Amino acid sequence: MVLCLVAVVIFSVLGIFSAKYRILAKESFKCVFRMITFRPCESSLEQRIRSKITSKLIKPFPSLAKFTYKNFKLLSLIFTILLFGSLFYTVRGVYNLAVYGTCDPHSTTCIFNPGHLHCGSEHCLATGCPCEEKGCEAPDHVGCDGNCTCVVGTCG
Amino acid sequence: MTTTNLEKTRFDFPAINQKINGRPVIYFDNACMSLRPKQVIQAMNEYYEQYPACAGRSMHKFASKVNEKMSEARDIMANFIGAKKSEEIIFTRNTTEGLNLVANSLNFKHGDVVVTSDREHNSNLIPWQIISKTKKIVHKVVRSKKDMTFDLEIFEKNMNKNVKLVSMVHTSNLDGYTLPVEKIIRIAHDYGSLVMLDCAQSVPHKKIDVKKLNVDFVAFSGHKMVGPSGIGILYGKYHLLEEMNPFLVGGDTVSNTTYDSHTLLKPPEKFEAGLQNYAGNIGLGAAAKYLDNIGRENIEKHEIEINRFITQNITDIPSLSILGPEEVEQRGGIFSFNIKDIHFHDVAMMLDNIANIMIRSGQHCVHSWFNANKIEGSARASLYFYNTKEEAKIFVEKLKEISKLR
Ligand SMILES: Cc1ncc(COP(=O)(O)O)c(C=O)c1O
Repeated sequence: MVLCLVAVVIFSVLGIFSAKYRILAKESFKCVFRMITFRPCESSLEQRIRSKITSKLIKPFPSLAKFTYKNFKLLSLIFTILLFGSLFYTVRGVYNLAVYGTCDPHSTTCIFNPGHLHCGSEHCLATGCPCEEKGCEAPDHVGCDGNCTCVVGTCG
Repeated sequence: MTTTNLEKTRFDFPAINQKINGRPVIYFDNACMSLRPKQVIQAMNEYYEQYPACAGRSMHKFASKVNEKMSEARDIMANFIGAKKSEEIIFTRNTTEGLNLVANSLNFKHGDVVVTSDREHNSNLIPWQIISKTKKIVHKVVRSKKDMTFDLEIFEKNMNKNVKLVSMVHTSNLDGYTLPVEKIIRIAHDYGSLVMLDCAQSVPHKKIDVKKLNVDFVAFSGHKMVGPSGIGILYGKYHLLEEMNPFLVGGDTVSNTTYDSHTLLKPPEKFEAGLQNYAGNIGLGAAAKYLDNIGRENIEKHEIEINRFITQNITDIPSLSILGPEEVEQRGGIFSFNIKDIHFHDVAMMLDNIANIMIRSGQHCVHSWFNANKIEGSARASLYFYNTKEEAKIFVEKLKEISKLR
C-alpha cells in the first residue's frame, strides 16, 4: 500500500508519455485515495510489482529474490521515504534556482548551478555577497558564480 | 496420445505457437478457457465471409445456407453428448445461461427442494439462492467427506419426495474431482427428482452419454471445449422441455402473435429468443468434431498422465499442498494447490513473469466452498490435450524455484 504513494508520483509522470502508465497512475491514485480515507486498498498493484521484481531476481540472485519477497513492505517503505526525501530537496533546489539563481546558494558543488549569481540578486543583497568585479565595468554587467565570485556577464 | 499426434494437434493452435519475450507460451488455464484450433476459427470466418445472414427468417440463398449449417451444428452437438434427438439441444450463451434457464423455467412451487453439492460454481448456486426467496423453495447443500469426495450417504439422507431437482456439478473446477453421477442420478430418480448436471468441466474432457446416464438436463460452454466464447448448450429431455415455459421470449420463439396472445414454437426454438450467435453455433459444431477426432477417452488419459507427472514431481516441495482428493485419477486434468507463505496470486504472477506459464489463481467462482473451509484461495493449473510433459517439467521446475522464496 505504501508503494502506491511512490507509484502515483512515478506513474503520473510516465503517464504523460504513455497510456499504459496512465492506467497504472489511476490505479495507484485510487489506492492512495482509499488509504487516506482509511479504507483498505483494493488494488493488487503492490502485489504485481512485488511479483515482477521478485521474478527478475529469482534466477540470477535467488537469495536476493527471497529477501525482496519477504521484506517487500520494508523495502517499499524505505523507497517511499527516499522518494519523498529527494522530492523535498528537488523542490527546494528549484525554488532556490528561481529565487537566487542557483539551486544551492551555500555551496559550489550544486550540479544544477547554471552559471552565475547576479550581484544584484536577492541572495547577494541579503548576504552582502562580496562581488569581485573581475574585468568588467561595474555596476551594470556583473554576475557572481556559486561562491559569489564575480565573472564577466552580459551587459545590460 | 502419441507424441507425433500431439505435436500435430499443437500445430493447430496459433496461440501456443507464438513466443512472448522470446519464450514459448505454456497455457495451463484451460478450465477457465481453452484455446481454439484453426479449424474452429476457419468455420467461424467462413460464416462471416461467405453467408453472413439470418437463419429462419429470410428466404434467400445465404439464409438457406445458415439454416443448413445451424441444423448441422445442432446434429453434431446432439451426437457429441448422445442425445436422442437434435431438438433436445438448446443453444445458449454459456453454462450459466443453461443453468439459469432451467432454474427460471421449471415449474417450482412453494416447498420444493433443490439439492446441490458443496462445491458448486456460483452459476449453480446463486440461481437457487434467488429462487429460494422468490418462489420459496428450499435449497439444500450436501457436504463432501473430509477427503473431499462426494458423500452419497448424506446425499441420500437429504433426499425425499419434495426434492424437485438435484443440480450438481459433474466435474469440479475447484479440484478436478468428478462426482459419482451415475449413482446420484439413480438415487434422485428413485425419489422422483429430476437431475441437472453442470458439465462445464466434464464434457470437454471426458465422454458423456446423456442417454446412458439418464440425466434430465446438462449444461456446458463452448469456450472450454476449443469452441468459441459466447456459445453454450443446454440439453434437456424433450418431454421436459415441452412442459417448460421459456425464460426469455421474443423473436424466433413464436409461430404467431395477436395483440393479446402468442403461440410458442416447439423446443428448442421456444427457448432460443432473438437472433442467434450463428458463427458461434457453427464454430461449436466444428469444435465438437475436432474433439471427436482426437477422442475424449484419449484426452482424459493424456491429462491424467500429465497431472500424475506433476503430482509425482512436486513431492519434494514440502510447502506445497494439493486441493482435492489424493489420487490423481480423481483430479483429472486439474492441479489446484497452495504454497505455504506464498500468496496464490504471487505464484500465478511469478509463473507468468518467469516462464509465460499461465494459470489461474483465486477462488475460481467457488467462493462458497473456500469460505466454508476458511481457505483464502488457490493457484490452479488446468490441463488439456495439447499440453505436454515438457511443459509440465518446466512448470514443476519453476514451482520449485518459487517455493524457495519462503
Ligand atoms: C464447473 C463450472 N460451472 C459453471 C461454469 C460457468 O461457465 P460459463 O462462465 O461458461 O457460463 C464454470 C466456468 O468456469 C465452471 O467451471
